[in-house]
Amino acid sequence: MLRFLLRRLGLALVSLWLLSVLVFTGTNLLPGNVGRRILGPFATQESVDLLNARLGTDRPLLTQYFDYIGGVLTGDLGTSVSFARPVTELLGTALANSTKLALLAFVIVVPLSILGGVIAALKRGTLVDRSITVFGLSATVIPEFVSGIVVIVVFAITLGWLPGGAQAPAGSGLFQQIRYLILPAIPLVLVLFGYIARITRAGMIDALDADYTRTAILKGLPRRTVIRRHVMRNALLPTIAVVATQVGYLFGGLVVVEVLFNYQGVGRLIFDAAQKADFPLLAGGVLVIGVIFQVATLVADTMYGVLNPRVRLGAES
Amino acid sequence: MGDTNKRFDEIRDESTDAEKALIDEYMARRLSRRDFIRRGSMAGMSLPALGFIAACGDGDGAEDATTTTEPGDTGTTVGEDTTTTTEAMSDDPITVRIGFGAPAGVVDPVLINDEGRIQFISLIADTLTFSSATGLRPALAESWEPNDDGTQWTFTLREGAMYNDGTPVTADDVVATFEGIAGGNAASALGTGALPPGGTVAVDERTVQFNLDAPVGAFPYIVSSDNYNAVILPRSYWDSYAEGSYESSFPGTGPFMVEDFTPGQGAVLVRNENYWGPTVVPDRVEVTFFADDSAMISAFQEGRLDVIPSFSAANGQALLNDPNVQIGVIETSEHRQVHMNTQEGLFADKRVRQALAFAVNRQAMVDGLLASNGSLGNDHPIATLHPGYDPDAVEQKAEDLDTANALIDEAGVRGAEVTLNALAFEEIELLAQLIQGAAAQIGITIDIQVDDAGTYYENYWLDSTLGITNYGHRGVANVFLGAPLRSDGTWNSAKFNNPEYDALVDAFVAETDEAAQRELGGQIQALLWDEVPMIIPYFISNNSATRMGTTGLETTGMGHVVITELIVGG
Amino acid sequence: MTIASVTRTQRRNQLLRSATFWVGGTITLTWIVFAIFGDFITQYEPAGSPTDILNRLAPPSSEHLMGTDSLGRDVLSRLLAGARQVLIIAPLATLIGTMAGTALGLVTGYFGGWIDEVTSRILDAFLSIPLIITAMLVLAAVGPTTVGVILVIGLVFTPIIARTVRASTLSEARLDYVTAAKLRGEGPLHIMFIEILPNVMGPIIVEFTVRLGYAIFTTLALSFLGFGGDPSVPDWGQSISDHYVFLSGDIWWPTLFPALAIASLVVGVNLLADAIAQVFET
Repeated sequence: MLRFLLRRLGLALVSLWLLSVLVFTGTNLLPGNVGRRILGPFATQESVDLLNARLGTDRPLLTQYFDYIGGVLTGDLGTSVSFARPVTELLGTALANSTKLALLAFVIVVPLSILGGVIAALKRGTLVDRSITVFGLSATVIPEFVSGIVVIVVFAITLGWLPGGAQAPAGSGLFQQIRYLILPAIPLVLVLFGYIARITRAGMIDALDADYTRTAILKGLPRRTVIRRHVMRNALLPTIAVVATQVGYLFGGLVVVEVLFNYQGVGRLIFDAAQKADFPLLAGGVLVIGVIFQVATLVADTMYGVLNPRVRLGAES
Repeated sequence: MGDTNKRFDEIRDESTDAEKALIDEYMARRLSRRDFIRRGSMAGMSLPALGFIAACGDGDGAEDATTTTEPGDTGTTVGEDTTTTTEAMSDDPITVRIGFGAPAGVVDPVLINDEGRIQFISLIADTLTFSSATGLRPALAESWEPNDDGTQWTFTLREGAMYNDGTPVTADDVVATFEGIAGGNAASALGTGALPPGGTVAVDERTVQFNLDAPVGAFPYIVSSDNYNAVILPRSYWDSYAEGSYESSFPGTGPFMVEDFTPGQGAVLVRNENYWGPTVVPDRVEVTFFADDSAMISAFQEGRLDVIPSFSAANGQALLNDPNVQIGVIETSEHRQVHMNTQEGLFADKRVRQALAFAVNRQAMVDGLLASNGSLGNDHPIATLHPGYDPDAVEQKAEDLDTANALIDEAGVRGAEVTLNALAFEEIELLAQLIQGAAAQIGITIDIQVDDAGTYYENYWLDSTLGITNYGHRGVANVFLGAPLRSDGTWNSAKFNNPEYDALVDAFVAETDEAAQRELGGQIQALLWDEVPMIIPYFISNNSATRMGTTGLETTGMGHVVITELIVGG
Repeated sequence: MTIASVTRTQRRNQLLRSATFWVGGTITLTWIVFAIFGDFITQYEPAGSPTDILNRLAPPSSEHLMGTDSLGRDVLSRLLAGARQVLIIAPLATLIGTMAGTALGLVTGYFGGWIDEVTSRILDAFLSIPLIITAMLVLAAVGPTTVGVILVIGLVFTPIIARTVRASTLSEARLDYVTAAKLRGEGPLHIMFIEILPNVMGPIIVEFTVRLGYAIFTTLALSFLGFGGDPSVPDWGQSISDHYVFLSGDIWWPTLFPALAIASLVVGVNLLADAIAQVFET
């Protein structure tokens, strides 16, 4: 188990290092003059050159990379070109905002979709099953900006029940903040629902058909007990892994949702950075998302390992 | 304190009975500050008076003032019921929620060039003079005068003006400011004012002198809010200046100061108790930044905003159509310049430039795109509101496809292809498509490439065959005529190089006599009309949105927002 | 060979009996027909004319069945032209991604060893970033153009497809026919593309159809975010981002119709993909 985890951790670190190389080369191969960006179009060439020298953007790329990676390891992601602030500071605030939104989406979607999947599996082949499956399938592929606009029109504009922007006024309490985040969370919930429900359903069906379930039923245990003790426990295993890997997706979906709802989260920050060609911020944002994804995957693997003796004992194959 | 009492009595004595009743109600704390100001303004009390009395009721001043009111009048029972009512009302700050464009970068006066940051800084800091929709007025400078030939201008600073940390404003700060901004964005704008390095001199604590290279008749505009970078900041700030260091304390002399600032998201401002102006009604301003009009408009309609100081008519249909929204429209000289490279490529031939100008349907743009909130442009940047505009110089250009097509055939460029670079801002993307459609009518194919402002200015602004750039309002045409069009101009996207034009502009800028300047203006208009280094299809009015009954909002075509006397209605 | 053809017939029959296949197929086909014959359905040019602006944001009427947009252009004709746009970009991008991913998957799966190890790590690094963010990163660098969008989506799909193909190739490479081919002295290229490829076509087809749905999703999301290139080219995502500002003024037509179009197309393609996947998985 420990060996397994260490290996996973090692792989994750290698992936992150590779990501840093990809992101760094990606963002530095391009033309673009950092000093000009900061000082604006109307500044004199002299002051631009001066600033470039001070920022060190006129040095060889490799030197800059070692500098960068050294900074990353000590928690310094550089300075945003457009905000002239440390990237870590900007990401910190944005990450807190995104986490609130993501957490709310998860809190809504996980129980809902697992319930949906379990019901679909138990009613396999019926209209209920088909409805849940087709709904999930469809909701998953409708882009967030389409469903987002629909909820804005219905709940914010027409009915006026909930605010159409995600940012609660400064100093709002928890309840108020949640109120502002409900609409933005819905598109994320819709996209995730299909995946999780589908995996849950498949896992449930596998478990329902498995030998141990038949044995348990033959032993005369009540159906309810069988489902709770044998089916659910085995069926939810793959679901957990899926939920964790969806964290990665979630941060992709956040871009569109945060733009649509004018919410200052990581997705929005990355979007702004990409638009303004603010490469330190862009690189920092992408790295942070990479770390989140790797951590989530690691957690998923660990949980999977702990819950599944076959993985825990045997080598992964 | 004696002054306060005297002024209070004066105001009260001059008031009508209804107003007196209101004042007394307020002093007796039976009215909240917010209600007092709202009802007082409806009753017709003047704002300075309202603001003064509101302030009296606020703190110690109230004690002083109320003692002077005669016993027997209504509402002098201060001692009796304050304990119960103050609790309910005194903590009732007047808050204004306002939506600004998202800052395009760090908030730093030297670096700003976008509406969002101009809006934000206009609440915190002041320039020497203020270029309003109706003309120039004093701001931090109380008065100014030129020497005989207009090469030296002397400004006297307002007495007692202080920064928001309480330190006084000195002439030396003005010198430091103009030295400090010479490296950033403002450099070119200052260049158009002929202000050389070292040209700014502090004569004494309150007097500052600008020594110019050449006469500039409209110099007070060069140091006005039109030159948004030139807000006066203390020497200590400039001594330790670094890009973005402004955000660490947000110094300034403006009516508000920053209490809390979140980059990209918004800010909370509170009243600057050291403000030099007479009245500041709002106690707090909650600023939210919006990256696009959509989110801002829906926030307003849902009641999450009180004021939108500026929105584009092309996107603002929802507000323009809403009977519950009060729209303020001011005429400005804000415009778009569709520049054509006069030296290389397709548009080096003057006939092609003229042809494109004749293919554009300006009237349809103003009526449709701007919802009539604008006026026709005639390919020169002198707007009707500018001094020096000659209404009879040239006829208004209109769509004339026959002439345009003839010119294209004469030049033999039918079937040519060209890329149009534009920046993402308000209606520009739509304008680009209309230009594309116009060009298609004369056999020119245009590909549009839209970039964010940063990319556009860095890569295409000064290096494109065809492009669209936005120019904010200026009270005089000097800046428009200089940098974007002079042969040595630093913003000359069209690479326009015309010695005759340069000479005309020099004369125009130096001229102080109105009629003579109009004569020169007319010649400039005619020259640009014919040479067409750029198409200027229209001038845009600034639209603001407030709730019905709101009073006291002042905006400029550059983005400045004055809300010192703002009372939110509804 | 007989075994293979029997399964093929079985699969076809199973597909034809599937309701999702018919529903998804009909929707998709309808959009393809619209995309091809759009010009015959409406009398208006998608690009409009300069004076259209005077009739901007006109509500649906007998003249303009879906109203006009912010430049006064006919929404319906832009909707049909937009179908063409997305139905060219998305399949092309998916095809590029599938071909590159298949090649990469075959090579890594067949050779194994350090080539596999190194490639897998790089692909893992790639996959730890959401598609849309990778795409934005690249487009910010190379500039937003239609060709850029196609290439970038192809690029981000490559590792995903490579992973699937690699897994299938790994198990195929152990089988007898591969060993036999090696003994015959066939080169690795021949073995990979002539011997193994036909046997891993199933998962590749499934991946292709599933990815097609995501390609549509991603293309439209990118154009919604403003990374779609020339704004005058009709595009559903761009239409929505250009017009949702008008929703609060009750001007719903330039937004709602493209939104419905997107929803129906992605659902149609996805149902189709699901039906195909079911057939291959059983």
